[in-house]
Amino acid sequence: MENQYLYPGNLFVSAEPAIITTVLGSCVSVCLYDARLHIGGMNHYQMPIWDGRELASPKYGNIAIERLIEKMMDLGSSPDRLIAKVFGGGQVLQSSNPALNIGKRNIEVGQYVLEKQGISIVASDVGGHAGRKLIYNTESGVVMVKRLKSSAAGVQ
Amino acid sequence: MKKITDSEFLEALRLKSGNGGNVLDTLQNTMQTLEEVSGQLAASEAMQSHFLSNVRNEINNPIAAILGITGTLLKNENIDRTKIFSMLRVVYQEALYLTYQWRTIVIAAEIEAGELDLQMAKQDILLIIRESMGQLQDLIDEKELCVIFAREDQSPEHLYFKTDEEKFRLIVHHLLRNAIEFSQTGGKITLDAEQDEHGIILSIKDEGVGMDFSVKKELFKRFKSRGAQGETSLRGLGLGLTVIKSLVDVMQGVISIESEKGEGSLFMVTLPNPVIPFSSETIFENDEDVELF
Repeated sequence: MENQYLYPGNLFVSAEPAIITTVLGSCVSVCLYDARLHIGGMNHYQMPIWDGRELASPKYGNIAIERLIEKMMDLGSSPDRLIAKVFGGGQVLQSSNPALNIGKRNIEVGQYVLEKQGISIVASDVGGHAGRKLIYNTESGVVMVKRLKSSAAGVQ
Repeated sequence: MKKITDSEFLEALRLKSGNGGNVLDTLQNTMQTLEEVSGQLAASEAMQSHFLSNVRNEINNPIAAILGITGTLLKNENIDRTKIFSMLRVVYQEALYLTYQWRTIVIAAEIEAGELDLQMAKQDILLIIRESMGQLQDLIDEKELCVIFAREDQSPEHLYFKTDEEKFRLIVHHLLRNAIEFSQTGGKITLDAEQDEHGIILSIKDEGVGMDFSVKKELFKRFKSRGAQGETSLRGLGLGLTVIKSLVDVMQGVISIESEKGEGSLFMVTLPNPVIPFSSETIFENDEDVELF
């Protein structure tokens, strides 16, 4: 099976069974799964909403989720068959200012966009203070989540 | 129900009205943000069409120059060697410019598609910097610039760091090219690369035109080139620094600028050691801190 490491700001969808791995801090990953076709895809976004300044990339939640859905459609899926699992959005850096809690805003954007697209969230593990390592099997739709120590280096 | 005294009641009222003020403030802020966003959207449309005509020029002009010069060289058998070399140098510079603009566009497209691939491998950072300086030597000579590579006279000959070679080259190339373009004739550029336990720090300092706060604020914005601020008639897509910023982001690094108008600019890129091994370390279903979803 193909092994794919997902960098922040990237997304990956495959018609062939694949194992997608990523590491999340305040970032959020949405895993989409089509149980009939046994295909899936995942994104990894760092910021909630595109501000129109930098490149219009899936670094931003609103873009990342819409692109992920589009790519699933390209492989023959349809929105009513898709289910979502949402992970990450931890508050890995301590801050008293709620406006700086990017993790929380990332989670909210994910829930909002998915709801608007009519895709139900069947499982999630979000928030808290820990980073997470994800391993997603796009064939079975199962996501393995390992909680990391919040001090894990390099976790965004 | 809890009983409260008059003074407690008044205090609660005061707090409420205070919050009311906050709500108004928040509303006003929201309105302001909405107006900004709507302005940005309108500007974005205009930028897109401007960008396309800009790309046409950026690609057409170097190709026209290369075809023109090589055509002349092919038609004239009796050009002397010095002349041939000076013409070839122009061809080289134009081809180099074309290559880097093209790579920038390709990487921008990959970033926008969420398909940026990093090929991490051990690289000699000092070698890449020296090669970038070599490639741009003609531009440096043209402006009679003094480029100092701070590392050059210090001991380590190599500085190994795990990174994506093509992307790192692009970062160095763009920052150095920028420093050259924004330097005045006879100016000085200082380059340095340092390594510590966390990663590497690359710094490029020029003594050129610098920039004020408003330019600095817009610097990483797509389709905004420093040249478009009316200071100089420079060419460029206005994508370079936007792409560099995104690349540094993906590598989980930081890019920072110190600059004042008329006092040059200092660009610093900090890249952390890549977290390794990302994918080779497996986790198991029966680990106690692993959950299945």
